[in-house]
Amino acid sequence: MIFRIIGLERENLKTKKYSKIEMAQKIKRIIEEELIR
Amino acid sequence: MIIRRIKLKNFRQFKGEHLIEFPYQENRNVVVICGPNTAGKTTLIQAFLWVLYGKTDFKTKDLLLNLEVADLMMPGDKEEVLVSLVLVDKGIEYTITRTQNYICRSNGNVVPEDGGGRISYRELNGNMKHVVKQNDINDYINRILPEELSSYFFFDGERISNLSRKDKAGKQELSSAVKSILGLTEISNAIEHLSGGSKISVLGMFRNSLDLESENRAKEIKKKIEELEDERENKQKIKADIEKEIKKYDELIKEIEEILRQNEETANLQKQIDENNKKINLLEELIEEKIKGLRGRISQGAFSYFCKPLIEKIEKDLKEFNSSIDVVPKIQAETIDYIIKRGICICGNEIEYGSEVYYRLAELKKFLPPYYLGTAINDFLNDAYSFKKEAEKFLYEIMKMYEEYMKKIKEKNDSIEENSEIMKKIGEKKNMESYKKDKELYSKQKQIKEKELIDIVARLENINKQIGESNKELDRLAEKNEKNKFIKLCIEYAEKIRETLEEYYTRKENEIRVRLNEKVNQIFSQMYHGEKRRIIIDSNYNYEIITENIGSELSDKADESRGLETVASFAFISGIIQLAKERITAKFVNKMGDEEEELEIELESEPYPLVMDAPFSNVDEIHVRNVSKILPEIAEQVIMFIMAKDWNYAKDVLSNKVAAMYELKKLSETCTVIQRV
Repeated sequence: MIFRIIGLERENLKTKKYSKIEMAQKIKRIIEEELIR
Repeated sequence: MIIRRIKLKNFRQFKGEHLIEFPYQENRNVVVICGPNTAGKTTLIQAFLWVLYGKTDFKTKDLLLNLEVADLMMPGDKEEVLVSLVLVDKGIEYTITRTQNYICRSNGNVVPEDGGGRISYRELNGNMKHVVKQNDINDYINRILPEELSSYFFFDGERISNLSRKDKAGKQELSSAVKSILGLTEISNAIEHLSGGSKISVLGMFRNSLDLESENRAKEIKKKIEELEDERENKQKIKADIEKEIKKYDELIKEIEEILRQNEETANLQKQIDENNKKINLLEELIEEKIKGLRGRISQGAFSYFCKPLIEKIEKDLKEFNSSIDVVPKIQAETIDYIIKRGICICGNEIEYGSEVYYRLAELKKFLPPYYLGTAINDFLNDAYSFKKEAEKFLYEIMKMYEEYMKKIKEKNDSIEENSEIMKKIGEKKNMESYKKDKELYSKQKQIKEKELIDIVARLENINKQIGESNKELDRLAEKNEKNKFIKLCIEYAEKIRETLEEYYTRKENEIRVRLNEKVNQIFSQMYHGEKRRIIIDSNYNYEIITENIGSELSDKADESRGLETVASFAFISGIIQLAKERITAKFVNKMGDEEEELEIELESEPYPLVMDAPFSNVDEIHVRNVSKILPEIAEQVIMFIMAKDWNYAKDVLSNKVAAMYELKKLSETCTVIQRV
C-alpha cells in the first residue's frame, strides 16, 4: 500500500499532473483497492 | 540533469545567434565561461532561468531584445528573441525553447508582441521526437527541475554568500528545497495528502464519506422494529384469544342449535306451556272478578238469606193468627173513604150517608188498614214472601256464581296441572326461548369479536408491512453500515500509514540532517584553509559557522568574513548535492493490526548541475583552489561564469576537469560575442 502511495507521489512530483485533491482521491482509491483485495 | 547546449538569439547583449556547447565527460565535467564585468555572465544565468521558467531578474524586463537590433528596427519590423536549451534528464534529451517577438510600432517604439515556450524531447537511444503539448510544458520543466529549486543550482556569488542569511520565507524555501533534493518531498506530500485539509485529504474524504446518519437511522429503525414486533406479539396473542372466543361462541351457538334442533317438540310443549300460562293469567283475572261478584252479591243478599228461617217461622205463626180473623184482603180504609165519598158502591148502588150501606161500609173500615192489624199482618206476610223469594234468588245466584267461580278455578288448576305435566315431559331441560336468547347473545358477542378480529388482522397486516418495509430499509442501511465499516477500516489504515510515514519522515529527516552535517563539514574542512571551524545545521536547515576552540557561549560570535560565508555556502550546497547523488534507502516497519511488513523505499534523487555566476568573487585564492578542486567531484556538472582574475587561481586545479572554455568578448555596451577558447 505504502509502496503504491509513495510511487504515486514520486510520479506526481515529477509530472505535477494532479492537484492536491486529485492526489488525495487517488491515494484514497489505492487504500480502498488494497483493502478490498 | 546535464546541460548539453544553450542557443541564444538577440537575447540582451548577445546580438545575433550564439551557441554554447557544454560537453560532458565523467572526468571532465566543468565548463568555464570567462568574461569581464558587464560582459554578460549574469545575463547568461538569466537566459537559463528565462528559457526554463519565463522569468528574469532584469530591471528592464520588457525588453529582452538586443538594443542594437531594436534600434535598427523600422515601424512594422518584427524581431525575435530566442533561447533554446538542450539538456538530458533521466535518459531523455529535452529541447526547451522560449521566444519573444517584438514589433516596432509606427511611433518607433519597440514593444513585445506574442511569444511563448515550446518543448520537445527524445530518448537518448532513439530518434523519435515528441512535442509536448502547450499546456504540459510547465509540468515537464518542473519535472526536470522544479522552479523553487532552481535558485540553488543557478546562482550568483551574491546569492551564495547570502545563503545562510535568508529570512524566514527563504529558510522555509531552503528547508523544502533540501527535502526535495534529498527525496523527502514525496513522503511529506503523501503525509499532507493523507491528512491535510478536511475535504482535500484522504482522511478527510473518508471521514466525510462516513454515513453516521444512516447508523443512527438504523438504530431508530431497529428500535421501531422491536416495538412493532412486541406489538405484533401482543396483537397475535389478542388475535388468538379472540379466535378462541369466536370458536367458543361458535361452539356454544352450535350446541344451542343442536339443542334447538333436537328439542323442537319440547319447544312446542313450551309453547303450550306459554299458552297455558296466558290462559291461567286470564283465568286468574276472571276468578278475581268472580270473587268480587260473589262478595258484592253476598253483601247485597246475605241478610235476606240468613233471615229466611226466621221469616218462615214468623210467617207460619202470623198465618195461623190471621186465619182466626176476617181479613179483607187488599183494601185500605182510604179505599172505603173514597167509595163513600164518591157515593156509588162498587156494585153500583148509591151510598147515602147514614144508610145501612153507609154504615156497613163504615163498619168495614174497622177491619181495614191502617186501623186493622190483620191487614198489617197480611202486608207483612206479603213482604215476607217477597223476602223469601229474594233469599231463594240469592241462594240460586250465589250457587251459580260459585259454580262459575269453581269452574274457573278448575280450569286454572287444569292448566296448571297440564303445565306441570308438560314440564314433567320436558324434564330438566331449560326453556328453549332462553336458548334462543343465549344464541342471539352469543351471535352478537361473536359479531363483536369478529369485528375486533378484523381490526386486529388489519393492524397485524399493517405491522407486518411496516416491519417488512423497515427491514428492507435496514438492509439498505446495513449495506451502508457495511460501507461505513469498510470506510472505518480505510480510515484506520490511512491513519496508520500516516503515522508510519510521519515516524519515518521525522526519523529520516534527522538522519539526513546528521548525514548532511557530516557531508557539509567534511567538504567544508576540505575547502576551508583555516582551522577549528565547523558548520552546524539546525532543524530548519539554517546553518552557522562555529569556532571550536572558544567557549560554547562565544563559539558562534566569531566574526565571519564574506569569504568564509561563501565557502560555507559552497560546502552546504555541495553537501546537499553530494547527498542527493547517493541513493537514500528508507527502511521502516509498517504495523497494520496483526500484520507487520518491513518496507524499504529507495528515495528518488537526481544529480544536479551547478551553474554559478562569479562564484569566487569574495574568496581568496586558496579557497578558490580548494572549492574548485572539490566542486567538480561533487556536482555532476559545473558551469561557471568567472572573471579572468579568479580563473587564474582556479585553472591550476580545474584545467584537467574543464571540458570546454568560452570567452565573452564585449564589443560594445550592447553587444557581446561568445568565443570558444
